[in-house]
Parts: sequence; C-alpha cells; structure tokens
Amino acid sequence: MNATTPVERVVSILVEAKYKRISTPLAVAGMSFDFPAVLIGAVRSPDLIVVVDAAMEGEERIRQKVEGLARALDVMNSRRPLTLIITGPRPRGPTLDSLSRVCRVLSAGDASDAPALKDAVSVLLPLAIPDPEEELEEGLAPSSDQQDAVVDALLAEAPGGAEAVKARLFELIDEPFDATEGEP
Amino acid sequence: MSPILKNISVENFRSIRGEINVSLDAPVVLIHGSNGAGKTSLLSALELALTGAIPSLERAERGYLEHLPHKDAKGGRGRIKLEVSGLDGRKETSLSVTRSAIGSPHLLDVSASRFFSERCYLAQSTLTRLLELYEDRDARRTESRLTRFVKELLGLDQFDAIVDGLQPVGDVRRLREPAPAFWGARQDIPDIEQRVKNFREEMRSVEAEGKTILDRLTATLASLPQNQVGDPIDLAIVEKELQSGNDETALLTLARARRDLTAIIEQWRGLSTGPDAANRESVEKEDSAARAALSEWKSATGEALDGVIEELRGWMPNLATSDAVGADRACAAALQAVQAELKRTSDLFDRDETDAKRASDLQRAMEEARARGLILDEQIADTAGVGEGLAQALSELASHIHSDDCPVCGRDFSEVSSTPLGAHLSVRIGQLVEAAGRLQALTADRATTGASITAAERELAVVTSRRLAQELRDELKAKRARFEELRLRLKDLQDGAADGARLAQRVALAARQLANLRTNDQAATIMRQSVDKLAEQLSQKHLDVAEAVDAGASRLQTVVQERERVLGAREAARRAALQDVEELKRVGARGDQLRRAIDGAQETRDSLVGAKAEADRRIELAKELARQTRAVRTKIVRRVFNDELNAIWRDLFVRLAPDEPFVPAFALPETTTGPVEAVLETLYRSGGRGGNPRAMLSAGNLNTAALTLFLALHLSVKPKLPWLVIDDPVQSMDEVHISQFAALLRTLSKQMGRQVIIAVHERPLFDYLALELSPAYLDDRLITIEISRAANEKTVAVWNPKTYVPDRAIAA
Repeated sequence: MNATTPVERVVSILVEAKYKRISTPLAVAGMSFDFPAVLIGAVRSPDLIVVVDAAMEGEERIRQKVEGLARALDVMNSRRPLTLIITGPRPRGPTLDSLSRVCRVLSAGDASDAPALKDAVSVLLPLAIPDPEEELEEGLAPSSDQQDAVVDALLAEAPGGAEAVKARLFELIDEPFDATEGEP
Repeated sequence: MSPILKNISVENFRSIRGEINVSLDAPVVLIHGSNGAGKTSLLSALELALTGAIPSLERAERGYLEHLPHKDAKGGRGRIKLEVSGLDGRKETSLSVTRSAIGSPHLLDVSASRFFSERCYLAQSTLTRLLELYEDRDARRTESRLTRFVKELLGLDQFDAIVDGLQPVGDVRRLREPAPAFWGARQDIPDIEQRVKNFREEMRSVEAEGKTILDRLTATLASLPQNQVGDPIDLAIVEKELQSGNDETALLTLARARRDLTAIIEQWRGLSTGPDAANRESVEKEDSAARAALSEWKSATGEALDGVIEELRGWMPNLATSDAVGADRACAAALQAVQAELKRTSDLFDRDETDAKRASDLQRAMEEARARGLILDEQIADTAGVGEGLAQALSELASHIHSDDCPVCGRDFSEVSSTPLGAHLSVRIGQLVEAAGRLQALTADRATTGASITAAERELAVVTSRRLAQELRDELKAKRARFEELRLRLKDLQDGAADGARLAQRVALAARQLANLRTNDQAATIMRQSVDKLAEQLSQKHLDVAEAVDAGASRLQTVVQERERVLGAREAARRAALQDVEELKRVGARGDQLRRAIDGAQETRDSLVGAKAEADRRIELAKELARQTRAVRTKIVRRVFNDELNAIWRDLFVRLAPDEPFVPAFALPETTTGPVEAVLETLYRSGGRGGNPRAMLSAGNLNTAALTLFLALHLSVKPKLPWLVIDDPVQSMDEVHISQFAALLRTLSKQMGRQVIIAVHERPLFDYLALELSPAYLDDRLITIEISRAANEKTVAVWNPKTYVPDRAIAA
C-alpha cells in the first residue's frame, strides 16, 4: 500500500473494486460539498461513497456536510445510496447515530491494517466466492445392483427417524426365528 | 439464460383469500405486508408450486396439508399457478390444493426441489431455528441444535436415522432385550448341542447296559431246559417260554412231602418217649396182681361193707354203693347218713316228752281259771242294779237344790235328817259312782279270765295233736337201736374201705398203662404206611423191615431236599432271566426315547442355526449399510462444512457487522470417521479462537450470524437455481445492519445474479430497501408487492414494477 493517508488507502481499495473517484468538491443541486474523496459505483452500482478523515475535520463539521449532501440528494430525487467512510478517530456515538439516519456509515479507523480495512469496507466490495463445490450427492444412495430386501426395508424407515429404523431392525433380526417357534 | 420466476397466481391458499396475481419478473422482488397479511402464504405457495411440498411447514406439523386451503375456500380447494422461464422442460404449472392432497405437477425435479428447499428458501420458521443455533449446547443431548438444524437443512437426519437406528448391531449384547429370539438362539444353540451330547453319552451307557444284560440273559437261558429263544434272542418268545415252564407245582409237592416227613419224624419221637416194650411185661404183671388183691379184699371187707350198705338202702334207697363211688366214699356216706338218722330220731323223742309235760300244765291252769270265773260271776250279780245313769241324773239335780226342800218331792229334808239336803245328795252321788266303778272292774276281770281259758284250751289241743302215736313211738325206738348198731359196724369198716379204694385205684392205673401200649402200636403202623406211601411218591424203595420209621423218613427227607435244591436253583435262574427280560425292555424303551430326543433336538438345533445364520446375515447387512451411510454422511458433511463455507460466512458476516471483533465459524470435523458434529465457535478477526457465539456476540449479531450462515450455505455450492427467497429476515437488526444488509442484497442481486425475493413487515425497512435496491441500470428492475386485506377480508396484492431512472444528481 503506497498511499500515505488513510483516505487515500481507502480510496485505493475502492478503486481496486471498480469504484470511480470523482472530482471534488461535489456539486449537487447547485450546492458544493467538499470532501477528501468521493467515489461512485461504476458497474451496475449507483453507490455514492464519501470518505472523510475525522482527524482532519471536526466531527460536527462532517455531520453538517453529510446531512447537507443527503438533503441535496433527496431534493434531486436521487436514488443513489450514500455511504460515509470515516477514517481516523471514531466519532462519538450521538454523532454516529445521527449520521446513520441519513446514510450508511463505515468506520475504517486509521486504515493502516489492510485486512482490517478490507473488513471495514467489505460491504462495498464484491463478494469473492471460491469455486463452488460440485452438486451434493443426492440423498441416501448406498445402493448396489442386488440390494437386499433387508436393506430396502431399513432405508424405507429412515424418514421415520432412528427409533423407527431401530424397531424395524429388531423385527428383521428376530424374523427368521418365527418359524422355529418355541423351545425344544 | 438463467431460470427466472415469472409470475404467480394464488387463490384461496392458507391465509390468502380470494385470488391474487403478481409478477415476479425482476432481479429483486420486495414484498411488504403487515403480519398476517399473507406474505408467508405467498412464499410457501411458491415453494409448493416448485417442489410439491412445504418442508418448513411439515417440520412444524405433519398434518399441515389440512390447513393449506383457505378455511373459507369453496369446496375446500385452493389453486396455485406459477410461471417460470429458463428451466428445462416445464415452464408453467397450475396445481390445486385440497385438504387432503396436493395436485401435480410441480415444476422442479427431486434434486432441484431439495436444492430449493435447502439452499434457496429461507422460511421464517427456519430462520427462527437458525436463531436457536446459538443456544448453549445441552450436555445431556447428543446433538446440538445447530447440528440438528444443519442436518434437517441438508437432509442428513435420514442418514443419522439409519446410522443411529442400526447402532445396536455394532454390539450383539445390545440385541439382548429388543431381539429376544435372536439372543435366545445364541444361548439355546450351545445348550441344545450340549443336551444332544449328553443324550448321546447316555445312549452309549444305555447300549452298554443292554449288552451286559443280554449276555447275562443268554448265559442264564443256556442253563435252563427251554431253548426256543430265537436268534437273535426274541424277547417276546423268551418271556413266554419262561412264564410257561415253571417248576412251582413240583416244588409245592416236594414242600408238602418234606413237611409230612418232618411231621412223621416228630410224631415218631413222641411215641418213643412212652412205655416201651420192655415195660410191657411188668405192667401186665402189676395188672394181674392188682386185680387179685382187689378180689381178695372184696370177698372179705368188701362183702361186709356191701351188706351194711344194702341194709341201709332198705331205708335210704339213694345211698351210693361201693361199686358206684368206691368203697371208702360209700362207707363214709353211709356213716354220715346213719348218724343223721340217729340224730333225727332222738330229736323226735325229745320233743314228744316236752309236749306231754305242757299238756298236763295246761289242764291244771284251766281248772283254776274256771273256779275264779264262778266267784266273779257272783260278785257281779251283787252289784247289778246300781246304774251310772242315776248318778248322772242326780248330779244334774244338784243345781236345783237351793235349800233343804226336795225338788222332786217338795218335802223338807231337814225334817228327815240334820244333814243338809245338798250334802246328802253329794254323798249319795259318790256312793253311786263307786259302785259303778266296781262293777266295771269285775266285768273286765270276768272277760279276761274267760279269754285265758279259751287260749289254754286251744294250746292244749295243739300239743295233744302233736304227740306221737304209741305204735310209732315203739317203731322209732327199735329203729334207733338198729341204727346205733349199724353205726358201730361202719366205724369198724372205715379203714378196710380205704384199703379197698386204694386197690381199685391200682387196678385202674395198670389197666390204663396197658391200653396206652396198645394205642402206640397202632400209630406206629400208620406211620410206616405213610412213609411207604411217600417213598412210592418219590420213587424210592419202601421201608425195610428192620429200618426204623424215623431213619426211613430221614432218608426220604434227604432225597426231597436234594430235589428241592435243584428245582429251586432252576426257578431262581428263570426268575433272574425274566427280570433280565424286563430290564432289556426298559433299556430298549429308554434307548428309543433317547433316539427320539436326539432327533428332535437335532432338528431344533438345525432350524435355529439356520435362522441364526439368516439373522447374522441381516446383522452384517445392517452393519454394512450403517458403514456405507456413515461414509456418505461424512463425505457430505466434509463437503458442506469446509473452509470455503467458513470463508464465505466470514465475508458475509463482516459485511453486516463490520464493527464486531469476532466472527462465527464452524469447527471442522477433523477425522472422517468421527461423528458429524458441527460445532460453532468464534474467531478473532485478527486470528485466534474466541468462545461460543452466544457468549461472544450481541443478539443483533447473532441474528446476523444466522442469516449469513444461510446465505453462505447458498453461496458455497454451485447454484442449481439462482434464486434467493427470504421471508421476513429482519426482526431485530439495528439500523446499521439493515443498511449493510441492503447493500449485501444488492451485491447478491447485481453481482451474483441471484433473483432475490424478500418479504418484510416493517414499513420503514420496506421503504429503505425499495430505495437501496432501486434499479441501477437499464433493464434492471425492482418489483414491489404490497399485500393487504380489503374490507370484505379478501386479500389484495398490488404489485408495482420500478424501472431504471438515470440519476440526475450526480452524473456517472
């Protein structure tokens, strides 16, 4: 990671994930909003992502700017979901709460640890799905060509649960003795 | 072209009343409705049309079919129509649902149905179970809830049913109670074999015993006269022979002969103790001597005695003669009789004298009494005329005398006497009373005297009549004199009579002895005859003339004893043989019994062994089945619970809970053979293990973990069906999670190409998701469906497609 500031480090991950950085200040509904970095989704994504650095700006100021931006988007009937990534010190709870009411808030800390940073913003990143397994085998199939009737009988009880199988098993074991009725 | 759910129409199904018809033809379908409006009904209708069953309902209630049609449905019938594109084969189905049956056909084949139910459709009830996963594992239970959930989700429960159900075959002892016949046979077979062995041993000993007895019998038979025994020996014939040919009769005869001989010998000995021949002469001599002495005595003393007795018999005919009772007794009796007669005679004389004296006394007394009577008569005549009656009349008159005037004549008494009249009267009365007394006494005396004369007269008559007549008195006198003489004669003869008696006794003794001798001679002759008869019977020679009876009898006795010994021995042998025959029969019967028992036991054993072999085969089959099932199960578990699953789960969880330091994970089964037990654990994001999720995660994050687990299971396999149907997953996620969840859904839809159908009941969430999942590009589409109820209780579903609108706020 070459970037020197947390903001830049966040931006680099997002860009890597096919988000597009757009120039600031951002102009919406004729108003200008100055943020360290702004990104939008490039491929099939309407996301609008704002990255701020709480170390550089007061959290109150950040709140004002983000709420202003959200209102402007509403005014424009924009359907873009707004995401705020806060680097640097984590804002106080009330501030985070009021921010959460207008946008998705992700706290990235100082973004110095790459995996942690990825975790923090992962909701914006594409899913990395490993090659899925082949289909599962189908049900109970321990069958051979000359499957014994005994096996069939036992398999038939499987849906009834272990007790049903057990009861059938005991029946089957005792069955051959039915012919040898009684003690000699 | 990947499969897409197009259209669904539901009529009178579960809580949906009337008919609703909605389009599903969009990458994302968002369903909203308050609780009970029919969201879950719509989604389960979708599952039913696809798979022909609703496993999530089935798990809750087996008889769920009955509740499938809406309760007010006409004819109890509901209907579902579904249209799908991109599937091979069927594109559309319309099936009716009654309370007892689900119509066909449904759209998916068996494996696709399984896939849908397990990995595409997260029913609300299933999610509820997912939430239970994190409860503490109950140490008493063999399965954690998670394990059960996973097994149900993947259909592993049937594998487990087989494996657990077949577990008893692993150890035969576990079959003891439940399979009593099998267990019993395991015990019985050796028992029966042991019994057969015992029977065989007994059989051998019985056969040996039979052989011994048979040998003995053969030997015995050889010693007996009969020999029709058959070859080999026929027991029936032998028995008959033995019973017919016995020697009892001969033995009886012999016994009788022996008894007779013994009696003869005994009797003979009795005879020999009597007077023998040597004595005979002296006995005869004594006899004649005694007779001579007796005759001599008779001519002297005897005659004299007889004469006396004869004379006496003239008076006393009952007197015994000496011939009748013996001389001494006859003499004594005569003497006694004579003395008694003498005494009687003198008594008679004595009384006659007394009577004579009394008669003279009486006559004198009578004379005196008669003289006194005369005197008394004179005195009575003197006193007569004085009456007692006059005295009484005068005394009554006394009360009328008050003066000297006489009350009778009225004359004055003083004129007659100087004595007052009263005194005169009383003297007169006294004189009269005295005279009366004297008369009374005289009269009594006269009567007494008369009576005593009468008594004396009467007694005199008696005494006089009793006196002996004179001639009788003379006769008695003569007889008394003669008897006195005879008495003296008898006294003299007394000793001689005793001698005579002794002589008579001596003669009698000698005569008796002679008679005895003669009787003995006769008995001896009879005995000889008996012995000769027995000798004839025994075919022996007669008694020799010189041979004594007892010697001859002893000779015969020896013969009898010898014959008895022989016959007895033969009889004993026969009895022993008969006994042996009985023994042989018994042994033979026991042998037959044993043979039958052996055959029976053998048969039982064979059938038991056969049955046990079949049971063993079945146990082996069951073992093999259990083994195979276990193997398949293990394979499946290893495929499902692998690192990929954990990786995907972690990724999904982190997206929804970015601030959570822990992530949930499955502890993977380490061996292939161990039991399937999916254990949950948490990991620190930075590495290292945490604890149980329940302890480590907040409630909201637990829900998140459950939801992401389902998504991870969906994503970890090749998507047979690219559908995700989620029923109201968000119950308690906080807002942070909801926004993350929305982003995740978008990712699943847009990036992973899943058709997402999601139902929610919260209006704000619905609005938020509607915004977040808005179409992002051309041809992207969102369908929102709002389900509610009309005033007439009919279900109303309004669906609304939202299409892409380019964003005007920020140019891309």
